[in-house]
Amino acid sequence: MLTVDGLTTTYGSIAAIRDVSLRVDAGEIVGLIGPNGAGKSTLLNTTVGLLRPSAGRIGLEDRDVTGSSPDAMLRLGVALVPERRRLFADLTVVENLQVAGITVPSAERRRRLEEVVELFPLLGRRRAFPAGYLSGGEAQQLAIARALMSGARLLLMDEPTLGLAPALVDTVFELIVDLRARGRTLLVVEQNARRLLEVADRAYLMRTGAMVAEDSGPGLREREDLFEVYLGVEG
Amino acid sequence: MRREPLERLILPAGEALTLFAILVLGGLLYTAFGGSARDTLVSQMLVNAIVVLGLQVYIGNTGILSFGHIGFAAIAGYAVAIAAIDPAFKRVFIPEAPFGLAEVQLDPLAATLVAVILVGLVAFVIGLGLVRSGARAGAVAPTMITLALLFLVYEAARNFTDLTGGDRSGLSFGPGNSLQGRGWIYLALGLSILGARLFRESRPGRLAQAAREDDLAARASGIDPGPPQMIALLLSVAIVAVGASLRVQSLGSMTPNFFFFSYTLLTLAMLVVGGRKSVTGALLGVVVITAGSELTRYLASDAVSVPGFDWLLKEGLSDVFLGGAMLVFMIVRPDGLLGDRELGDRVLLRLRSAQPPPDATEPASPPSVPSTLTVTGLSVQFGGFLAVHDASLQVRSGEIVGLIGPNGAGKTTLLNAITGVVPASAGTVRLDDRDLTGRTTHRIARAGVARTFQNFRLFPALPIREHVEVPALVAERHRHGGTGPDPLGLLVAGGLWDGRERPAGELDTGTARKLELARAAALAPAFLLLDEPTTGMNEAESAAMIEHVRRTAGSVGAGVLVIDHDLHFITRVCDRIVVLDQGRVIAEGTPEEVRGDAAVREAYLGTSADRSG
Amino acid sequence: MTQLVQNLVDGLGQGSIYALLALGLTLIFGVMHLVNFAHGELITVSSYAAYALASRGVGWGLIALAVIVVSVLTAVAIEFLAFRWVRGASEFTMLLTSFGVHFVVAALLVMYVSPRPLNFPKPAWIFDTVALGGVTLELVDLVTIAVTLVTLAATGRVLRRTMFGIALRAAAEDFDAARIMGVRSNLVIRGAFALSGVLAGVAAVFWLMRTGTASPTAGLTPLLFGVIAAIVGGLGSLGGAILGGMALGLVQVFLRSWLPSDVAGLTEGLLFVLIALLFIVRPQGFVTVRRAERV
Repeated sequence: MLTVDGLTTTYGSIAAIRDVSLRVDAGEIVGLIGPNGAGKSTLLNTTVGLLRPSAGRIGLEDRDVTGSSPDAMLRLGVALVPERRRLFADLTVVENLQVAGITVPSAERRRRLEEVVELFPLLGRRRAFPAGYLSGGEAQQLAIARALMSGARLLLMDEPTLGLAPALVDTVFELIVDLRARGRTLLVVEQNARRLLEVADRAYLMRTGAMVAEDSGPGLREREDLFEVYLGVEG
Repeated sequence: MRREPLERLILPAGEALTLFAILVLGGLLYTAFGGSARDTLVSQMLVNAIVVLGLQVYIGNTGILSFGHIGFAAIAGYAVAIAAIDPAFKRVFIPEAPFGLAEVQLDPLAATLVAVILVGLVAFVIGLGLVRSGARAGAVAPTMITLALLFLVYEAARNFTDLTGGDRSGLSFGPGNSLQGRGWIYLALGLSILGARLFRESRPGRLAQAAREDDLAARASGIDPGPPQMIALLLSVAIVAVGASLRVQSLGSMTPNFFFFSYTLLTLAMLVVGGRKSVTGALLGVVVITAGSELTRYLASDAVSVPGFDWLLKEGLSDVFLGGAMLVFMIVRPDGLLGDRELGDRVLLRLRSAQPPPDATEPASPPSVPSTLTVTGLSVQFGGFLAVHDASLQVRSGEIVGLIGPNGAGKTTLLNAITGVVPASAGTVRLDDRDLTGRTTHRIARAGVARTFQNFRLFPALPIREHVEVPALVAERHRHGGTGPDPLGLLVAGGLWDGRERPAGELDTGTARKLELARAAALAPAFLLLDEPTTGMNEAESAAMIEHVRRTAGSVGAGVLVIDHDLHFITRVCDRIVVLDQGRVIAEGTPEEVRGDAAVREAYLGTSADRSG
Repeated sequence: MTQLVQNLVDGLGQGSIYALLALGLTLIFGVMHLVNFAHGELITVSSYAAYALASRGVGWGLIALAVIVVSVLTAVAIEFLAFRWVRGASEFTMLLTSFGVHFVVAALLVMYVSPRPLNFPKPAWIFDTVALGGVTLELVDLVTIAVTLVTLAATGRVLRRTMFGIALRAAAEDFDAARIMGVRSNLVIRGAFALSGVLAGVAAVFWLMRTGTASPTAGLTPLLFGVIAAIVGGLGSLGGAILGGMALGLVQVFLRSWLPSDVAGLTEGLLFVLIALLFIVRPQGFVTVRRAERV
């Protein structure tokens, strides 16, 4: 479904990611792990069109979508749940959802809003709340709900459990699995590598801007030297 | 700082003299081929040049956009007019003047002196207010404060008719009473160019420029921007006052509109078009704008008629030209025609390039009295969120301590709290027996704690060498009195010698991080706090950084606290490691101990489903 | 007591104009981080439209409409011609750009219309008074306040109920997150300018009613007060801008009435002293706006 080929994104003269390739097939959960500064966020942001790559290609099914804008990617069915959620704190829950559905015609947007609220009853009870007053778990639900508003089939999630209490971490992972059951495809970046590898079909490991390892979820999880590879302390 | 006198005094003075000569000779040449109209034009241009130089000293060096300098000019103008106009004429315009000022007459020189002192006093008070409001490049508050001054002076001038003659009559010099010849203008111009040029190379000038480029990084290098900005302000208003005095005398009269919005536009456009960061630029702007204004005025006058273009060549075209020039330059070339280059830059560059490199700074003998940086029970709270919770650690001279932890653990926040960038809500930071908790960033830097930044913060327009020479200036006064390592030696050690004249804004990440390290070391600190020095570097550069950090720290005898995510780098460079997770210290020990710690593994990789909660 | 009520209404009448301007300025600052010193040109250009129509005897209802339309067109034109090119530039550059626009527009008006102020007739009822509970109030103040309240309510409705308004508020809070959600940056910014044009247009109607003058600097004074009010309100808070504007109007009127008559001309001057003091003591304004800087 999504293919990334030899992608390089630079900030000025720094290459945040260098010659990175990956593949996400329809209906899978693909994990992306690695220490900070590895470029995982940069990869997601470039894929969704927030950043322009200086080299490489992004393909969505058969189309070349390299360099498309975020709203074009949304229309093609690719949505990002950004790191730290970036909810609009002064806007209500409903308004946050409405903005997220801005690329969709209004009748369908209304319909989808009701669907999403059914999926997340907790949010339904808090429709008129300013998003800034939501608890951590509710905020994360809103963040994922927003990504669903545009009708996205491919969800890119950037550290969805960041800052959440352990019990809520469970809820988020349940949600991710549930979304796959409902036919969505997910590419998930996570700090909590072990949990992610338990649910991922396949996974990639990045370090200092490059792809370092690739395997099935269980395969990567079982590696003895995972910690060492993760942090680069081998040799 | 031994070869300084040539570079920082003689050469700039020569440059100033050359610029002066060019302006004077150019003016004389232009006048020789025309009549008295040209003569007046050149005089006006030279006087405007003095005012613009005054603006350049402040706006150019501090980066603070002041709209009030023409307000200072107005005060000076009125002071001179009131003091110097013959009482016979004063009795006509302002018979009711308070304090018997109608009877006073000073000669113009004395009147100018009075004006300078008066304006200096007002500027001092305003300057205090500007510092208090946190004035720095790009801030809106100082623009509003100075704009308020401009309007205040204007309103006062219009309303205190007893003193100023207000809008209607204003004040006038009688015939024979106003400025004759250009001698005084030449003198004032020459001194102003010299003053502005030398200030740019002076200690307060250079400190102000560093703060202009990056206020926070300057403070972290021990600079308190307040005093240099105040000095710049006082010098600038003195020059502006002299210019205003000459303007009033040469125009022969004074009304509130002489020093208000349109003169502000004129002088700002001149400053900006040429390049506000350099004296040569400011003067170039004066000439270009004067020429352009004159040309548009000529074209718009009745003397000229271009078929098909008469709709364009109307009265007011010169104002469109002025505003348009400012607009176009801001959009296309905000740094002006010259950027920040001065006339003598080529000569200076050749001189400097010929300079042989000093020895690379060698490891100093360890300080006879080793220091300890102790953090005890530090907590940092943002609203309801506890970013750092009861963290304690210790760093001693000569050792390198690593600070690691997953994303969001609070490492940078801890560093910010130690260096005074964010306030600590509990706990203490001590350097030996000095309590640094809650002190300002620049004082902590001066006490001996230097740092680098996660998203490196250099001084983009300043050359590489300035990045080590400016902290060395600070160190000289506040750290060791001139017995520290040669800052240029730090450049050699970092492989930065060859590109030392390049502006820092052009550097790639690896070089930028090395420069930040050198800048911190140039402060001759007791402790170096490094925030992710290898982020953005490739494997080879990170590996090289290991040795580089050791050498640099060794050369100034500092202890190091380093945050980084590259654990290959951390485990090799550090003697000890402290691990932070969710704001708390969860482990501490040698790299091997930490690597084997289960809690650390969990923090990084997370827990599996059956063990969470 | 009567004096107090009169001053109150008078101050709110003035303050309404400042509040509308401050609101427009805050909207623009929210999406562009620009303090728009060219905002006054909307009033200046509108003043000539008012002159053109009023001097031909057109009714003020129609003039009001024309003023608002001209204001919106001018705002969008300025964004398209000047500010579009300096998005993301340094604050110094943006400040000077907005001043540059101000000067160019003023100069163009001098060139192509008239350098001297042009007077036009004010509405017939401009000096009428109304007696309410024994107190004599100026009709124009009451109308200004009433229309302003309606405008603010309508604006609030746009910001809260329309997708444009919601997108605008989202972009003002976090521009990049809005882009991630699919909001188109160009439309949002242009929309913010257009909306600020409507607000400035309403303000202009009442300002011009009172002054009856068209000149190249007609918009300067109201702009200044609008900017001050916006900054007092913290430059990020819409509510703060409205409060700032009203407060400024009240302070101005009360100062004028308390100062002894021979010094009354100094009201403006004193106001500026207070403003300078405000920025010295509390440069961030009175309403705290969340804005963290990544170190």
